[in-house]
Formats: sequence, C-alpha cells, structure tokens
Amino acid sequence: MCEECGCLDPGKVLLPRHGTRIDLTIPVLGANQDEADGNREMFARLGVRVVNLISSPGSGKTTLLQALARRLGRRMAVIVGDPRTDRDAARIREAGCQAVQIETRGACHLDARGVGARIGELDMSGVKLLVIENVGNLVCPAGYDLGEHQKVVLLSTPEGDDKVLKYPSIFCKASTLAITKIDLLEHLDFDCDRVETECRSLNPHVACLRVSARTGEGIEALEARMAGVPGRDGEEG
Amino acid sequence: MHEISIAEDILDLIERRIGDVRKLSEVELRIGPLSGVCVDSLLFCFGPVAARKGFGDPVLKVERPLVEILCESCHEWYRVDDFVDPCPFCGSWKREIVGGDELQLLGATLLEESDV
Repeated sequence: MCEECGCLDPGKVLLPRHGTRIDLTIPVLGANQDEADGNREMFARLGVRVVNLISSPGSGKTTLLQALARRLGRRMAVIVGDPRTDRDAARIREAGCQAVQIETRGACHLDARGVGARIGELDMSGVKLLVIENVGNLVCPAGYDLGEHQKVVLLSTPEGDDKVLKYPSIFCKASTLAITKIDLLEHLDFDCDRVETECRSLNPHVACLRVSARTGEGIEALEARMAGVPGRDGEEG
Repeated sequence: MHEISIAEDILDLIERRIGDVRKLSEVELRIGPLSGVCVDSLLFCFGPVAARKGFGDPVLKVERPLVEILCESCHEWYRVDDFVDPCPFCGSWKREIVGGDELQLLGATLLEESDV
C-alpha cells in the first residue's frame, strides 16, 4: 500500500497500483511449514521421536496404538485427531499410555499449529515416542507437515491391494508402510507383494512391514521402526 | 477435501503481502499432482471465497506441472501426471520421483481502475 497509505512495512509489496501484477512465488502452506519447524525444534528439545500416523478410517490405527501402548506404557504418548468424539483417546488411555484428543469439528486433517498447541497437555518426562494419529484420510493429511520425524502409512488388507497408485501422494511421502490386519489374509484376495512393489515404485526408500494387532505379528518390528530408525523427512533423515 | 481452507490461505497470503483487501482480476497458482489438492474443487470454491472476503471475482489460473521421473533401470527421464504406467522406454517400475507436490502462489493482479 505504501504509495497510498505511506506505510513502510518491509514485508509488504511496494506500489501495488490498480492493474499491477504482484509477483509472489510463495508456498501456500508456508505458515503451516513455519509452525511445523517450530514443532520440530520443540520435539528435539524434548528428545522424543515423533511419528505422523496416516491411513483411511477403519484401517487399524487406534488398535495398533493400543497394542503399542500395552508394550510401551508411559514411554509412549499419543495425540489423536478425529472430526468428532474422544473415543480413540479413551481407548489408548485404557491401554496404558497418555493420549490427547483433538476434535477437528469436521476438518479432514491435523495441522502443525493444532498439534503444537496441545503438546503442553502431555507430561513428556520419560516419553520416548510421540505418535500423532491423524484424521482417517489417505489424501489431505499428506500435505501437512506436523514437524514429525517420519510419516507411517497403514493399509489394511480389507481395503484391497489396489490402493497405492490411487493415493500416490501419501505413499510417496511415507517412510514406512505397514500392511495391517494380516491375520485376515486367508479370507481375502489381497496381494501384499503387489502393494509393496507399487509403493516402492513411488518411493524406493520406504520400509515395508506386515502386522496384525490381533495376533501380535510384526508389532515388535513396527515399534523398532517407529522408535528408533531415522526417517527420510526428519532431521536425521 | 480442504480446498476451501486452501482458498482462504491463498487470499490471506495476498492480503498480508499487499497490506489490504483489494479487488483482484487474477490469481496464479502452481499445483502439482502430488500436492493432495483437487484443482477442480479449488476452481469451484475460489470465486465464492474471494467474493466473501472482499476480493471481488478474480480468475484463478492454475499451472499444473507434470511429475518428473528418473527411471532407475534405464536412466531415462520421463514425465507423467499419474503413476499407473511403468517407464515408457524400458517398462521398469523402478523410478525416482522428483517434485510434483508443488502448491505455490505465483502472483496476483489488482483489478484495473477503469474496471472497478
């Protein structure tokens, strides 16, 4: 506005008269990125590994976290997002670890500001692994960095083995793919190899795991992957 | 699914940079196929969101870059807007994807005074 209002704010564009094209070239989600960078610094200060857990609704995120909570107890904490209810946080607390529920009131993903604002509700002393269970959705959460070390994406066997190339964005960005509910494989025409091959075709560095929260198969490997292995998108990655 | 909030973010960025809400004739974006943004939904909602916030009725121009892919088998580069086909040169699925997740505001044009 400067020519008209005389302001001297260096962040503003000078001389935007009518008809002027203003060259911007800025990331639309830059504000979220700044908040995510702030979260990353806070996580580093707290000395905690952070996972952004993403999948469609009903693929087993919360059930998997219950299984991990029974193993890790106070060493894990969870922030969980859903459009409505605190049912997931209640289930995770019952399984033995701290959990904070974010009710997004309809929003289809968590953003960095929303997550950062709720960390203070957790007692982080002794917590080594913080899992942010995103809103059930394979599309929107992929675009929002929360400051995590790695994204872990789940695909459950009842969803079908053709999903990876339908939702390429999240499968490109995840450091770890876990196929869940493998105890149901005998009842389904689900080809784990197809899923893993297609995921690696988008993302050659992805780690692929097969798990069942019900039988416990693969849970130890998933815990190790979440808690210890540096992620592609983290400061050690 | 969150294109309305993306539209609001875009207009907030423009307002912050020009220091005011002004009638616009055009807004330019670059949106890659891995951005997670549905361009048709954004085109559908952008006009009403802009009008409600006082920016008039700007045309939204969207540049849609293809994804650059390096075949890790034959080392040829190719470009796609989806991922269902393997390398067109050798048929390999081994590939490195470069970019594609762009979601950038490129520019905005203020409405000509004579058009106000």
